[in-house]
Amino acid sequence: MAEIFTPQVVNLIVRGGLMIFVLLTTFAYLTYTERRILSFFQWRLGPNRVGPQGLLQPLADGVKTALKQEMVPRKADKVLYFLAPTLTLSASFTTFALIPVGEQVALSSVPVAILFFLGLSSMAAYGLILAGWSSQSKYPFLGSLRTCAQVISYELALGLCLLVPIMITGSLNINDFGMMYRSENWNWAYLVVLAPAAILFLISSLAETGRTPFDLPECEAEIVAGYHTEYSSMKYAMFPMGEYIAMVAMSAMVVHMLLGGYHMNLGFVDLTYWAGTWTAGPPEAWGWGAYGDAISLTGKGFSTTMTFIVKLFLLIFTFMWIRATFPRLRYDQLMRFGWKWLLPATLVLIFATAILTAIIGPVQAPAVDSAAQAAMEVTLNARH
Amino acid sequence: MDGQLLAWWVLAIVGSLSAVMMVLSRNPVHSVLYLVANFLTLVGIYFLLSAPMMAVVQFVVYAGAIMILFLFVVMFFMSPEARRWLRPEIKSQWVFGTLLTVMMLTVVYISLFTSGRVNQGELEMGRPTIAMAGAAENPREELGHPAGLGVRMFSYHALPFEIAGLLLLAALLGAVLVARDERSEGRQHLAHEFEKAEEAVAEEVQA
Amino acid sequence: MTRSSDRRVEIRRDPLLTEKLVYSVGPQHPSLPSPLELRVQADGELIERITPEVGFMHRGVEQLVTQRNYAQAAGLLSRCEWLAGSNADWLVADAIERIEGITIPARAQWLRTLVLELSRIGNHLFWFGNLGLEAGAYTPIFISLREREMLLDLLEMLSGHRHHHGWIVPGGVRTAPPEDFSGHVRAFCLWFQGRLDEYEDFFSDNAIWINRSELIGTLEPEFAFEHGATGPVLRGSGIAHDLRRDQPYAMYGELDLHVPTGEYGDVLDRYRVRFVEMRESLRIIEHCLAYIDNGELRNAEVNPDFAQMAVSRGEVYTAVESPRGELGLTLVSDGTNRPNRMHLRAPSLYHLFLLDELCRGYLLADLFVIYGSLDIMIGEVDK
Repeated sequence: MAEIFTPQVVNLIVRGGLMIFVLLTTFAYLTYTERRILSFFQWRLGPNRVGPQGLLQPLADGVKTALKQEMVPRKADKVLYFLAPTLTLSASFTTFALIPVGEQVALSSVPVAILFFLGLSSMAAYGLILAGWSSQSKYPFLGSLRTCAQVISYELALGLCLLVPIMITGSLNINDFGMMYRSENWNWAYLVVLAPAAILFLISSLAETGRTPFDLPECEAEIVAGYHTEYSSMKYAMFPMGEYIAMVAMSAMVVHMLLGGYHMNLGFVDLTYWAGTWTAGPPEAWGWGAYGDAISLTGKGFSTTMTFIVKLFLLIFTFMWIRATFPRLRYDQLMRFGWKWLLPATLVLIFATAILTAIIGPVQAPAVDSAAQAAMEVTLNARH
Repeated sequence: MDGQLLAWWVLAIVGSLSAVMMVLSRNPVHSVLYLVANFLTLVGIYFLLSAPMMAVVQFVVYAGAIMILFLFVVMFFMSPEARRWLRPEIKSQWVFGTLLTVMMLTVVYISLFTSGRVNQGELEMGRPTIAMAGAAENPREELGHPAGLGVRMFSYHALPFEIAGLLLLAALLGAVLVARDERSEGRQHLAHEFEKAEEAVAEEVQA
Repeated sequence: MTRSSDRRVEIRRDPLLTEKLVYSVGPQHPSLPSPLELRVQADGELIERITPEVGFMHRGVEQLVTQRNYAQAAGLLSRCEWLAGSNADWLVADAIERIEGITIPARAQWLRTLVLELSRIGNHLFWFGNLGLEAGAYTPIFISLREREMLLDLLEMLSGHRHHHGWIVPGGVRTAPPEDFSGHVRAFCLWFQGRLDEYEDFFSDNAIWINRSELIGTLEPEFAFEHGATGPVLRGSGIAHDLRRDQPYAMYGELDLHVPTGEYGDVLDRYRVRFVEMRESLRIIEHCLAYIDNGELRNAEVNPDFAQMAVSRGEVYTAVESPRGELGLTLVSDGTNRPNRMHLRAPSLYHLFLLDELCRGYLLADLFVIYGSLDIMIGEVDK
């Protein structure tokens, strides 16, 4: 048994644990941020009582939620009822195993990461659907039916939007998309297709994560709370947790594929690299790879990670801004929009990309450029 | 026992169990979920076979998309109001079921070991060799990788691929036709067209 | 677009004979601000029939008032219509004035007009925020309540109370407005004009909102008229009926009123009618401000102690154009200081029972937007 836990695997487990910790903190503070941002839009103060500027509010909320009484409907399908929130949450967490946060700062380098990402987002949908069904009650049931239809419809547009950068780079590995945005590979003509793709992807990701104006699965005005109406205490908290983390993952995806990844490329100079080169990286002996960069606040790992996080939070802010602004679509309008408008638009976009790449030529297939990246393929190559 | 073999055993056992449970479960929603579990173990097995593309296709298309549709449909018939679990329609149904299963397994076993594709010697337990053959030399060319699959699909297999697509489209249109409201114009128009076609066929047959 | 092309789905007999779902919306439901149960029979999400169940908030106000004096009765009635309580005060005062033949000084009349219009805006603001919530927008309720807060401050300045003012009494009004009142009202009007433009910018012209409301919940004018719809609901259907213009009371006869009407009677029309009404109210308020500074506040012949006031035998019906429609009061007095019988004609009651007709053939999601567009107050329905 001992050889299963090789140093590589242990390293991965530690990194994974770190990632989960960071994500949970992010979730907690995203709820706080969202409430403060919404209150800013709505001319009120928001939570500002617990701790300085209300910064301990997430902690208080966590304690309160955990101590709430747990109520399970008598007619509920118990196993599925307990399984559903876990499914949603774990699928959202797993998504982050695929997403690099900086240059060579990643848990894995899966060659087909994009497809996995899409698969995981439908795995999260299982949780939502089962939650509604296993509660054996009408409003959750309606909510889960809506979720089902919504996720299926918008996943198509979502995947097709992702095809645009895939066609340009010719790779399904998220780590390779950074290549496209490097100064030597970048062509401003890509913007013609990448910009609309980014907007369409943003719209479909709003629907996929069930955010306003597509928050039909849980719209409280109509179906009380949708699929999680019958949930309480921590099991309830796992749904918003999964949802927020899915939102972060979607934003991360937009940043990686359509908004320049972890580069701040102005065409003639890559600001991120420029910032990264005047500080030395960590000693190789640490064995932390690029994580060392990110942690020791030096080198490319750090500057790219920071760029990425800034972009990420700008996008998340957009999500919140949209929530403060728009009313909700009606169910049938949502479906009509998805199938009759969004899907054809993405198809046209793909056609345009095909023409564009035929004229300009795709980015050269990126070679595996360092030993560090090879080391990151540990998930796949462990068996060799 | 190395990690890979251990993983294979776990996947194989969970996969088989979930397949059996899928058949035995009386609640259709549970059946669907057992099938999903089964698919997920298949994903793992494809990964063990160095076929990440197959694994991911299995994951996205079957476990992700198709089974959600299944669940959607099953849930429609299993509204929380009507909790009608499926009951055996025939007494001692399971006897016939078991008999049929044994017969089918026998056929599969015989055909597997007499077709010559698999030598008994090579089929060691826990070391599936069918898809592994030749995969090691040039993985990018292989079906298991996206680029290889893409090239094959749009060159060697372009025609079958398109025909399959057309067939699926036809099936889809048929489903739309069946599901459409009786009184809607499209349906009436199509029904009319069908009648004309039937008449034409009948005339030809007579002639 | 014409009326016939509205988005209603024709209910058909289901060839598969699937089960109908019956949703019990309420009495506790996040989008119903007051307790009310709606039994919604639906085919999936397509509404086939709605049966409102009322009475969860029944307090027996009409019985209670017969055991109390007129001042207390007015207070109780204003608690049926708490968002614009001055309307009930006005009704009681007016009913007594009619029976006794009391004349009211002009200044008091202008002040009453002013207060009625202020409370109309306050009510519409609350309605706007609530409608936003029903449609899934979270921001309108907060910004509209911000403006309403200023309005409540103004009313508090006048009467000392925020909601149930009891400021309009038989013969005039209770107290004189503070010295800087006109200035405050003018400042509010100026501010609110700008805010209304802001609302229109970010909500009224929003494509999603237009989609949610256009040709949804259409109400035919004949049907509306026959079923006792009044106020913005009736005007939304295209019938220009407004008690302020058609049976002028207080000082409305002196004003040149514009009565906005809708075209299709859908949610959007009712919404727009209320928005125009808010602008109209602002105009009226600004007009009133010129007359409220000089003159008598109250007819000196009337008993200044409202609680001890006895009303001679008589029976009268009087009505006011409340923000929701025709709010009427039938008063039967028997010469004592207690009413013999009081009956409130609540517009919300009539509008609530339009819901079945309005929602049939629309989706469950439309129910709440339609409900929001009717501006139903359960306090008024249940009494």
